[in-house]
Amino acid sequence: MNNQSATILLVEDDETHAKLIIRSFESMRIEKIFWVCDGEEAMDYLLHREAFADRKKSPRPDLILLDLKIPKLDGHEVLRRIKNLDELKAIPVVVLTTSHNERDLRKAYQNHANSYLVKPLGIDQFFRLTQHLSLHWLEWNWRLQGDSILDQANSSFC
Amino acid sequence: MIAIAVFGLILVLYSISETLLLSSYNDLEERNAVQNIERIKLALSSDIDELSSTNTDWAHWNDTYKFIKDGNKEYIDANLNSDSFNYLKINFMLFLDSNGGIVLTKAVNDRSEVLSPPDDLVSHLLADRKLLCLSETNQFNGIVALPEGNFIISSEPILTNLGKGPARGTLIMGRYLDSEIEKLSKMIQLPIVAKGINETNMSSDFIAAKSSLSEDEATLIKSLSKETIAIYALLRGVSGEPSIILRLEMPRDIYRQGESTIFYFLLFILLSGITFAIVILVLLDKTLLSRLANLGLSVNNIGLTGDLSMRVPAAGSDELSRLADDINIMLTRLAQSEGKLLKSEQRYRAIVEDQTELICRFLPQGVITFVNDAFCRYFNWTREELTDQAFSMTISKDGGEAIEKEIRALSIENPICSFQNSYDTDEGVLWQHWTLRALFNDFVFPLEYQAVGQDVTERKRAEEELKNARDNLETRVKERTAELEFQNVQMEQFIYTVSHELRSPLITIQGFIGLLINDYEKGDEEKTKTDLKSIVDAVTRMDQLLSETLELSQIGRVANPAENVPFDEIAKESLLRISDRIKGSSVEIIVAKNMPYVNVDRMRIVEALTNLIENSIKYIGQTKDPKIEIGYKGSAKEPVFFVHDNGMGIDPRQQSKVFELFYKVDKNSEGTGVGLTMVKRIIEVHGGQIWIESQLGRGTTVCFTLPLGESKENE
Repeated sequence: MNNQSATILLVEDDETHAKLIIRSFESMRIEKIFWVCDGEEAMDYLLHREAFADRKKSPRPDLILLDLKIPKLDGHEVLRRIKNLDELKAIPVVVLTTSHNERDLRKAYQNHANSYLVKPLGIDQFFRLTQHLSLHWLEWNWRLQGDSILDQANSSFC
Repeated sequence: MIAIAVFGLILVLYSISETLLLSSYNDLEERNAVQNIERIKLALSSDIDELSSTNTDWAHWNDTYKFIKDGNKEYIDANLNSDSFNYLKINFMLFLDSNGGIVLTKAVNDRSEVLSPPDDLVSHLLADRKLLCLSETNQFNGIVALPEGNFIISSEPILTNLGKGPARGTLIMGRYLDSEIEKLSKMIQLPIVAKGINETNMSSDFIAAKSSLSEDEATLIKSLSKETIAIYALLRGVSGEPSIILRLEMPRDIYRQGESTIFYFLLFILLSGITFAIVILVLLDKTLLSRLANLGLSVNNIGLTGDLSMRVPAAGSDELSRLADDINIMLTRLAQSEGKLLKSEQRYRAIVEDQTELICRFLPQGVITFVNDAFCRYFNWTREELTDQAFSMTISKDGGEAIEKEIRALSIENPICSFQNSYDTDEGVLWQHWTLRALFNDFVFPLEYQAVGQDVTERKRAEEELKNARDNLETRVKERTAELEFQNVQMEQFIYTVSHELRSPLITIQGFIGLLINDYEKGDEEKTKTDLKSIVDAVTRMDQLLSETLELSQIGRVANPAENVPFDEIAKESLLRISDRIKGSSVEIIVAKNMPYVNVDRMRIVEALTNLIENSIKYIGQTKDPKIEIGYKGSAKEPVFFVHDNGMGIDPRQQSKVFELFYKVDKNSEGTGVGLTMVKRIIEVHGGQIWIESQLGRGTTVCFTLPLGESKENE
């Protein structure tokens, strides 16, 4: 099965972490992952500015994975901006970070993060995480779009 | 005094004589007046008797008896002429028959002419037929007051010589009372007035007398003036009715005599009193007063001079001389006891003066009466300055009222109070502890106060210092607690950040080990190599993080002693350290000259500056003619050191973040993001501040302050 219609924006400054996440999604044949390194780049992508002025290079994501500790604009600020923009706030944003910090957690949910996940230790755990993400967020999204992709998604795990 | 006594005596005598003597003289006078009027009354009644006997002669006469019957003319011619009227001293005669009818009336006038009496008189006389004698025994003698005048009347029955009846009629003889009164007046040489009681033109005194006189009070005495007295008597008529008021005026000889007697008596007493008073005064002065005055003067003189060796004059051997002797003896004793007192006073004074305590005595009004030398020295006043000054001038104004209240509350049961007091001088505040005792002479009011003071300035100062130290300690503990709390929060934040940052490579290592295994199993050599490299990089990075974190944590703790160095030297040393890197880049570095001295941990500041320069080189980017400037701005007293580059600059939003731990401007930055945090920490440990002034595209200036050293260039 092919989930090529699912587009993910990954905001992550740690290259190795990005690689781990991308490889996890690739193993599920979700390959349309756009990776940006800092908050400013993320906003540029979403608003089609600067390097992302070409809309073909910056398709609207179905899911945003957001690290909090990123240069320039930090994760919280990016989250706040996304959720304050009418054209963007429907996009589910999952915070994916290294820390269990309560303050970060509370602040993220206050800024209307759709979920808050902590990066796991071990590649198997990463696989499970991405499976869970795609199941929960991407399928749900498709259903809203009226497609009967649920079956396709289910079968992809067989 | 004596004059007043004499005057008083005379006054008393005067009032006694006035009441006793004058009233007795008055009595005497009145008795004399009553006697006189009684005499007049007696004279009048003898007149009446005489007229009665004359009438009897005429009425009991055969000729008259016969005449009534026949009315013969011979009788008239022979008897009723003017001579017989004059002889008999009567003014009219009425011959009436037994029925009261008029037989004959005769009267005589002033010129001794015999004629008929006025009809009015006759009719008035016979009006009520009272005077008719209808039997042999009837007869009426007395006084009659008529409108025509007042008369003495006698009415007798006409009988025979032998007094045998029957009565053939009535013979009435009358005489003017006024002529009788006139006669009497002349006789006793006093004015007598008689007035009929029914007379209409009576004077006011008669009217008053008329109302006062009554049956019981036959006489009334009234003083008309100082010269005369009047006495009134009521005379009764023929049938006993009040008919005439008699007034006798008498000169008040007796009374006046009494008055002049009193006057002379008093005059005599006054004169003799004055004379005696003068004599007594002279004698008193000679024997007593002048000597007493002399004695008093000399005692006074001794009192004034206080010279107890002087003596009062003591001549003679009377009481006064003995008094003078006694005074002299007393003076001797006084001199002796004063000598003793002087000695004890000297001893006492020596004690008081040699005290280091401040001693002061003052009156209840506050006026100082005594101070010792210590007091004068302490307050830096002379005794002269303190005379008549108030004790309260040593009391501070703030506490004065409370102290005054305390002093006023002292009583004989509780005569002591103590208080502390401050006194401002040019050299500072002096503190004294005073013990104050009130001295009483009775049970209510204090006579004097005695204050003994000790200087407690040192103690007070120590107390204050101790208090300040305690307060300081408290605030310092508070500050330190707050500091510790803040540090605690920072520490928590630090630990959180570090643990988060350390977890990041662990995630990488764990993840890539998994991938490595997968790739190895697949036999993908290329991927296996990159996986391994990622793991090694993560481990290296972790090591770097750990060592830098350790270094950061030690900045505050491990410190070299501060050195006084010119900042130029620090800049030189820093540049030397990274000379290789500088050479590798094309950056031009400009260092200012004659920068201020700083007093710092030299090693640390060199480290910080090196870090800043490295950072600048790192972020200077692709600028044309890259340039780094090291220098200071502001005054040399408050210099702000800076490292300026003309690189890409930092977004103002990020300027506060760059000092955060593990913060990186972008993902491609070298290093761990500890460098600037370390610089900030070093500067702050030195008590300085660090901040960034930058605009995008216009370069970056990192500014910081440091503790200043002392410039040695004092040429």
